[in-house]
Amino acid sequence: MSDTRPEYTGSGCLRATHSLGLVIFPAFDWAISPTHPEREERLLYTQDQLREEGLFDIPGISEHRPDMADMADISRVHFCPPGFERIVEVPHLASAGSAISAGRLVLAGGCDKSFALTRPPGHHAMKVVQGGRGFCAVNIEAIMLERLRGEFGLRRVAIVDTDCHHGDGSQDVYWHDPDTLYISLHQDGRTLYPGSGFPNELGGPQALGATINIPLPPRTGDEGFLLATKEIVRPILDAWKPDLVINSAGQDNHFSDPITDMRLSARGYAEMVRCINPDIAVLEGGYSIQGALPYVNLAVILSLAGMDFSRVVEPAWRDDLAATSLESMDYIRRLRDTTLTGFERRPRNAASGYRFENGWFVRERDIYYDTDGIHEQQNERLRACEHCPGLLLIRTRTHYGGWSICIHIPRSACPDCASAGEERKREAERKGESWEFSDQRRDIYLRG
Amino acid sequence: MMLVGLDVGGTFTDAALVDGKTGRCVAWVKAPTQAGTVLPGILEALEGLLRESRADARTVKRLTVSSTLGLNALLTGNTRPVGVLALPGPGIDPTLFWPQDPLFKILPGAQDHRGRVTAVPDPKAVDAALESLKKLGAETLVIVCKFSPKNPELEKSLAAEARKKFGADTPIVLGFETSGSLNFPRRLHTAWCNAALYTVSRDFHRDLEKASRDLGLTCPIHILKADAGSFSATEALTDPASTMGSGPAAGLLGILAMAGLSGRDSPIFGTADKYMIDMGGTSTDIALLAAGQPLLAREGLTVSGRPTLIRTLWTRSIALGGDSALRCKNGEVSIGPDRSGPALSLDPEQKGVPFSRPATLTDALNVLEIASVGNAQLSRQAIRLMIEDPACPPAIKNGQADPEAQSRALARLFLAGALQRIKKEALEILEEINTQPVYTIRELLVDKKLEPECAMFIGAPAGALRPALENALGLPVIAPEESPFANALGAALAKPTKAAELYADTLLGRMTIPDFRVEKNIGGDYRLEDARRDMSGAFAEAFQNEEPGQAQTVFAESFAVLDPSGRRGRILRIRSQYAAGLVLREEG
Repeated sequence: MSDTRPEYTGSGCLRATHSLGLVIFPAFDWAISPTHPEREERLLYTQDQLREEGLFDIPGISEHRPDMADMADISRVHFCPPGFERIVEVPHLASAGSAISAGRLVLAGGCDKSFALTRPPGHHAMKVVQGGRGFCAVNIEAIMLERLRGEFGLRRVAIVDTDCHHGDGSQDVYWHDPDTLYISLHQDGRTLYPGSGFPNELGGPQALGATINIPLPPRTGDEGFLLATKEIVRPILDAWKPDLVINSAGQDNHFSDPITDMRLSARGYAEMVRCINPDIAVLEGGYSIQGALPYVNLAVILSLAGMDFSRVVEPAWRDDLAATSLESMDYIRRLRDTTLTGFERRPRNAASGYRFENGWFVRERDIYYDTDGIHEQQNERLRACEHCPGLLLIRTRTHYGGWSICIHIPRSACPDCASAGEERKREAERKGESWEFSDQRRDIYLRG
Repeated sequence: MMLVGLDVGGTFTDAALVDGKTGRCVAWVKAPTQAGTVLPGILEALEGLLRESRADARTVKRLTVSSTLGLNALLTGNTRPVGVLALPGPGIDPTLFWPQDPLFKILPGAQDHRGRVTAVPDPKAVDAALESLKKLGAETLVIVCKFSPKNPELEKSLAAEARKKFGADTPIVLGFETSGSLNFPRRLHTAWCNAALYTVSRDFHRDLEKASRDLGLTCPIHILKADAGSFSATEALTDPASTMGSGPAAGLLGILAMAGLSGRDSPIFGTADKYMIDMGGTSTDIALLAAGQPLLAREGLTVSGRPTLIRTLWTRSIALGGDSALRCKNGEVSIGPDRSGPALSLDPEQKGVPFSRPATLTDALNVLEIASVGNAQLSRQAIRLMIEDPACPPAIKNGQADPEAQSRALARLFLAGALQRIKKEALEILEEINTQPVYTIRELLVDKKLEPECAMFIGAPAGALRPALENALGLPVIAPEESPFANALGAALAKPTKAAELYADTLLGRMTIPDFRVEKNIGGDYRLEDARRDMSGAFAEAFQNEEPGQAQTVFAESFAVLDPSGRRGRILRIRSQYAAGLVLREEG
């Protein structure tokens, strides 16, 4: 009788068919600035909605405390020439830590699935971090994934990003990694920040096909999203056969979101999640904090738990929002055909934007950090290699700083690439360059 | 200052007269509890107590009753038909958490997470639902809308409609009046319990009031709650559900009081974190004291399958006790989970080999001479018989040749198994508490953990098992002396408790404290200081006849919020409480 866990005697059976672990970390005491969209209030109403629903009483649904990520977790993913202490704050460690906790719940905690409802988000944070971009400082999914790879020996992992903005950070972190499939569904980059994520962005020269971009026209609704998910994302996941699927669950495709122009509903989101069937979901963006987040989060949670979400109807919902225009549906079907054909052929060495120089793929890039107003200039060199993803060298500087060299030896690097990387580090030391060195094989991260 | 405590158990009703200054029991009596009704036992005990102690009834300052009345009424279905109007709005389908019930009506109105009305129920649907409930014979009504603690508007307007149809005297329980906590299913179930128990509770309190006056008692009557505190009989009238499950609370307070009597410098009396382990015949209950205060469950009591918001002790019950059945299975020993009955040594039906049922943990203690209960010869025979069983762990037989030594080795194995089980559960409950979610960076960094420094151990086998449990837990274990009147003593010394939540939204201009039924309009300049003042004001007004001291603030939060139109405001949340404890400690 004193058991606080209820036994439901209802006519239906209120029970999660997939056990679901939730890590909810609303960071109620932190904001970028008081009126910023990414502020304290962001998860307040979601938390109230989940409590009021009695969600945590449902057998199979549990809530867990976040761990804190540490600097080692961050340096496993990022280079940070200004120094991590100048960019990374405690909330970022807590947010990445929440994602790590969620990952562990699935891999070692006995949960079928998990969801980290955390802030601040992370999918605009790239491999090199010179400052804040798109409300993000560090990439919380990548930090989680690399930690989980170290702890549990995962290899093939897919990240499906359903945030309305293209996850250019996650794409960049895994651009050269053939073992991490990154799929992004987002509002067409010609109409929204960060202006990237076009179908021809397919991954680096030695990881082609492991990046898939599905830009959708503005005002795409449930119908269009479900078409894209069921007929593009699902077949690709089925063919690629990942060991683990992560969903970067941004919620700004919602029809009420103030900074985007899509028309997805809470139930549409839930349906999409059911189709993607992720093991771990991590909250990304979503700034309609009253009209969308409480409902979308609830629907996504019910969907992950394998429960009915048909009654999660937003007060502002109108039936005419559900349709997607015929032109958009046609466009999505054409995109489906070209994407699937391209994916099946898996082109080699056809990445655009690179030139080939003495055994290296080379490109130059300018990157803008909108949160901090920083311009970064990059020279990226990937060692052409038949045996591994290749040694990666990134020279980077900002408009106010000098050059740094970032040396990245990937997890599955061949001995030649690895020793070339170590040689480049010694050269940097000899020349007195500012350098950062990351050897994922040995989990060693150094700077000088 | 004299206090009277009454504890209504299944078999006996105990009454204790307690000196409120020293916490000592001056007199106590036991009267049989009558099947199906608690009042006669209470009266007999009370009368006996006053007669035996020769105390002047007028010197009694308070009478506190811990009773199974509500619980029994609910378990036996001795309640009146309750009609429910539920307004769930968007979210989980409510038929999933409600039993099959023709008196449960879902209406289409809704409020959102800030308490704003987003859909007004169709008057025709309301009328039809009320008409149907009337036909089905509903005598009391429950009206619960999602997010009503933030705004009782829809519930109140429906109540007005219901009164038109059912008459002004029909008891109506609103979700808003039930609790300030957010949990729609639990609020529904709690409100339902209050409505179901309304009549039986009202009659009981009327009779109790009259009977105690007849005995010359002039003091206020209090009722013990599941949170180890008490409230006045008047409060119990509108919130009878909170009186369910007060049994374990009386027990915990009783031990605290008994331990206190052994000296104020006793480690039990201090503010250290500690375990409370109560081993009975069938089960062992583990509870915790955090900084000297009983730790309450995050949510609430579950009564006959209904999860409620009734504040209750955070306990864990293990099917392990003195009467647990002992068995050998495939070379391993098992204790319980089933109960075999009293120890074989105590059972007049058992005359030696063959026994008609398994030996019990108490029999094993007899063999080890840790306990000496009944005819220990029977215990020895039964355990020795188990050694012959091919399922007996081989190490027992291989270890030594002497059958006596083998019996003792097997009994030791059973005891070690039982103690390990208690230890495992104790660590698990601690882990459960210490891994509760946190929501702010500050909490994450501070991260205070509960660390029990000792354990209090009670129940029949406690005295005998104390050293062994101390060894197993690696903590000092204190077993206060058994007392036949501990529960009544605990009830007598219980302090009034109350928990309340305040919710204010300056953009909507509304503040509510549902637990005190407070609701008022506020201006845009309403700040956390104002909210704190309103909260202490509500406590002071409700407890003007008591002196329970300052209310504790559990949390006080202020969120800057921004309307889509760019208007700035704030949302404030406060939770305050009078926590449970002993009257005695206040004065000591």
